[in-house]
Amino acid sequence: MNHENKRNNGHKQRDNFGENNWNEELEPIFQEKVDVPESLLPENVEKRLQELENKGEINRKKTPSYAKYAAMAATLLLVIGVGTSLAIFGNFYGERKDETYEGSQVETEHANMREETVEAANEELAAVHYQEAYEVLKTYQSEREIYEKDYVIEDAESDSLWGTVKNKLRDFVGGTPKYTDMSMDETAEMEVNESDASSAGDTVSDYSQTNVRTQGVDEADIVKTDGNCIYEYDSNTEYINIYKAAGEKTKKIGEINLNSYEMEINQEGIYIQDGILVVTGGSYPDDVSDTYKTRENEYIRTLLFDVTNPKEPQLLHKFFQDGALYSTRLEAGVLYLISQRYMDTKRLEEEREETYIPKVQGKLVPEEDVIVQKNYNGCQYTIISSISLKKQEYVDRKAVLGGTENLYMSSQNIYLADTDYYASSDSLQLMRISYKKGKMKKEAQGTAKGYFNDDYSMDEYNGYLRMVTTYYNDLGEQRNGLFILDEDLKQVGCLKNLAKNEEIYSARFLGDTAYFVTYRNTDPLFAVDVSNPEKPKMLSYLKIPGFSSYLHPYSKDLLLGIGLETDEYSDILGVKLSMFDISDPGDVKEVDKVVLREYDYAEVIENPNALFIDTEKNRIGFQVRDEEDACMGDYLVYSYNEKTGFVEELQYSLMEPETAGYGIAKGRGVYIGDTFYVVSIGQQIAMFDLQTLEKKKVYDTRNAKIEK
Amino acid sequence: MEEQEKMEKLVFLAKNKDAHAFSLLYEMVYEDLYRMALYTLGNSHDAEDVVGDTVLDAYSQIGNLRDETAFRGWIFKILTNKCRRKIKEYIGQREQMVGEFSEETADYAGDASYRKDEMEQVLDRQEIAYAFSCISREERLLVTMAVYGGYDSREIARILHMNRNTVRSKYQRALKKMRESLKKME
Repeated sequence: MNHENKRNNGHKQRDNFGENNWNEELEPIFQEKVDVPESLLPENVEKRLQELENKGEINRKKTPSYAKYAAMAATLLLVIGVGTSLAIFGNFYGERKDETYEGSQVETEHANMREETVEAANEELAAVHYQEAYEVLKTYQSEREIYEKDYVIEDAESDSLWGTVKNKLRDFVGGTPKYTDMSMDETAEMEVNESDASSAGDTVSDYSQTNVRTQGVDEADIVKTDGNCIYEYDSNTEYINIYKAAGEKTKKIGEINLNSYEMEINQEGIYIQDGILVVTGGSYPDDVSDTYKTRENEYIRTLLFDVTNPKEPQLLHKFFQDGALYSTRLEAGVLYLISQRYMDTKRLEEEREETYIPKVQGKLVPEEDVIVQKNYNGCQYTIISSISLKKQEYVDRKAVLGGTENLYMSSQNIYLADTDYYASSDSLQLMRISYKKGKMKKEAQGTAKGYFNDDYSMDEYNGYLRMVTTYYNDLGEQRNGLFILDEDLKQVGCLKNLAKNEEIYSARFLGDTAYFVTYRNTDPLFAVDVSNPEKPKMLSYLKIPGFSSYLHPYSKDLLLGIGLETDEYSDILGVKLSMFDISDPGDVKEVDKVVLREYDYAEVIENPNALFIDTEKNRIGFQVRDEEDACMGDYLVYSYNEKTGFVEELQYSLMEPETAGYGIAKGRGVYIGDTFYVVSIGQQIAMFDLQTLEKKKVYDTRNAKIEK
Repeated sequence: MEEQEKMEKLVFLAKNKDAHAFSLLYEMVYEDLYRMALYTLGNSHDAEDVVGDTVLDAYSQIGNLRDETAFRGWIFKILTNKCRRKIKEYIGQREQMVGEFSEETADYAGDASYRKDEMEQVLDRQEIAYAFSCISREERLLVTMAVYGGYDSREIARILHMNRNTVRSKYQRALKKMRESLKKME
């Protein structure tokens, strides 16, 4: 490929997506001459542009000045009348048309906020005031450039003043209020129910948890268990199905219909903790074809349900905050919600803080909680709120003026990583926000090179942040590096220039040793000694075909890798399990490997939550399928022992011919007590003896009715 | 770097309303722009519209291009966004006809023949058009972004809001399907 891409100040090598010779057959065809229409030929384009230029029809200002808007607004007042004008005014300035606040309610909220602000005035301000946020956004607006976020490119008609007005009116008249369901009336009376003895009685203490990045920090998943019930989120029906997990007597006992809540439920899943079920989602867009309009009107919602009596779930509380959902976490009974909101800088007004400060639960984030990322050139906020499940109220909230491309939550800190797309080198911005029981505080900000693969590429240990990134060097060539930063996010040690033209595919930090995989068409597994943060040392480098996209410590001496096996043309040969002997990190060996040639995909490759792993019980469970054949999917369970290597303990077919066209449902494996449950969302729950993996029973959940 | 300096100069001129300078920049990328639009959207009429809009937007907004050496990437971003919108329009229209189908299913299950005809009629069964018609819309956008747009997997993941591993595996699978469809033609 002879494309030249300029990036930073050099040439960027094309990312071949890990392939080497893929283009041999296709390249000549891709480069085939095409008949470009006359009007698009350069000479004709030039003529046309020159014509328009001469006529003065090139509109270089996409955005009318505020003065014009103000004048327009005044005209509207006259035309429409005072009563409705306020509402239109609101829309006009880009507020959600659904903000139907009663006047008095708004006043009270503002009063509360002022009190908080005054109270907090004496606190150490690591945060920055509203003014600085305004300045950053104002600078962004004046330097506005076409960005890869969703962008409204107005057509010729709406370029004109009246065109814009027409659109605003249309929005207002045609739109439906979105916040009306957020009234607290119906929830105010709900209390946590007394548990129903018959259902709560048999909770087992030994049951599986979601496979998560940080021990103790839970992540949302589509199947959860509390040892008593299995909770399943089915995105096809938008129901949460609740099954009493009782071995062969497993049956459906309750459900929650999420359809009435008018939100796009978070596909990541749900949480269950102490009888409370948590569902998060995004606001439902009015117009499905219009998802490319700027997203300043989005907000996320969180619903808490009381399921102490699983037969009758009760809605306890609703929370909402600005932005599109980014991710969530649950730690020590506190829910952390992270959303991202793009501010429409066209509508900035210094006197109106809601044009540059986001809101949580309808209230502006207080000044001391607004954090402006240093050197930030964008218009995106990352909004983090923390909610105590037990008290069903907010603990804290932060609005970081800065984007988030990756998020890593350790047991003590939240790390936000943002790559500045247009900056020169060292374009990765990092922020450390400490947290404890919901209280959050910005602690440090730093920079690094490159970008992360996922949150396994970062690791906090003994006060240091170790990380592996893929970056471009001064010549625009792709490289990889391991970096170690201190508490202030200043670099103390690094190992650079690794794996030329490859990308990080997986990483795992195990104490003093870091393991990571890069890939182009073979998979080097690197082992680096990071015991001395200032001097990381390369220990070994193992080259094998294919790649691991997830690494998991199996024992002190063993590292499990799950990924894909590929050939020299980077064609996928099958899903792969590898076991590496890491007893001597200086000489890592692959001691066993299983290539499952019948399958070319496993959800686990993209999403580690989908993996069932229990190293003590020696069980590795995951679903696989063949992408070509939508109906073909199996749930597999493996064990590993030194003598025979990987042993297939279970191959359970999830084939469902009746659901052809939709394909195999996602699957999860969980155990409760002695039973292993394979949950195929919305289709079945299969029960096995956890030890022998002998099938005990299959419960068809497709049409399961609630059994009392 | 001569090439870069030349580009910087042209962008500077274009920012100063020099249509000729802009057309020289455009000349460097126009075939790939058109190819991307054509193979993503599947018909030359819409492709012509979309590229035409892109050119107009780029010319009028070039004042906002901060990094002058990033012209190519920048104009492709404009085009990519317009292609995405167009695809959403197609799907919206079809949803009215077809009813409740998820985007993927509609693209893949019911509709392959419809797309192929459209492609074939307009493009006289060029091999590449045929190969492209055998993959889903999402896959087509993905492949053209990589091949003509010069995006890498991470950029595509950001733009399409997908997991990067998904982008990589979908891309490889799409190419595999294209290769196989070409074999069938032989």
